[in-house]
Amino acid sequence: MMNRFLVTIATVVATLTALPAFADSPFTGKTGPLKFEVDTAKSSFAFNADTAAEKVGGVAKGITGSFSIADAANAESTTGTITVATAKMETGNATRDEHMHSAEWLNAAGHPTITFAISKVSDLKVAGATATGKAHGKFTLNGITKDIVTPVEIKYSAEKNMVKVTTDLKVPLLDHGIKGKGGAVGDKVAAIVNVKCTLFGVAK
Amino acid sequence: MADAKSQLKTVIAILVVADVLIFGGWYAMWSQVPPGSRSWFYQTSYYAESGEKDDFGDAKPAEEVKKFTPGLIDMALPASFAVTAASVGWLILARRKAQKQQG
Repeated sequence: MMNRFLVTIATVVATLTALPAFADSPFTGKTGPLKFEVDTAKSSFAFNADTAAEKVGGVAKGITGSFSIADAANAESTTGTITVATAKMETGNATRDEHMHSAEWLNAAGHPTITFAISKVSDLKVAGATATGKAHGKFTLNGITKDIVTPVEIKYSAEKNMVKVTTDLKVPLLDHGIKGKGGAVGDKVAAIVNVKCTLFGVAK
Repeated sequence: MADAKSQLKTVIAILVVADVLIFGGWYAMWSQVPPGSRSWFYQTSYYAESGEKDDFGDAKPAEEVKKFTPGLIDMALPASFAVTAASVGWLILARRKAQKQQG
């Protein structure tokens, strides 16, 4: 009788000790490394900026990239790279798009890609299959790379073996050498561009 | 003099009808775009939430809707200005012609 009681206690203690290994991750039930490739068709990179006339919004088509999680039990080990073709950023107005892609703005010819390389995730709070925290990484725009920390949400669907990563970036144009025509940035065009990045990753 | 008055009335009528058509047509198309996606400039597409759910049960991100919408600043106002300029120009030429004929 005593032995059975001790075995039960030992089992409960062992289970409780093992739980924290999964408490830092939304990838419930997964172990070891995981890799996801960005689903270009479903993912979205939407941006908006205030200008003198109105708020201009648009999207970037054709997002590519991948995410790796070194240890499924620890989502803080998430790394990844997202790449957006500068020339594929569109606002729905061809004239405005042409200006936006020009050398005075995003310089699509000189710097054809915008990248966000995530090096780690910190301050994770996990609730079920959802984790929120801060993504640390390097954001490259107009050929200038800056270290950034941005809020991130990671959701995992065990059923679909799919991950969704959402982040809101605040991109300071002047830090990336973008001054606009006649120094419009910070004057007629807001110095900060808001980007909402919604990425769907399918397991590789 | 009566002829000049008649010409002025014609020009005003043309301007009123033209502006009603231009701005009415612009507003009719512009107002069909959801408020957050409207622009004062022409658009060949805009981005709006469809209300559908994604694979995680969340609202899908804004999607592209391909639809032409004329711009107030770059289409309606210049069109109105062009019609006004043409009408006033015609009026001035007509009056000069009338003055020459009288002289």
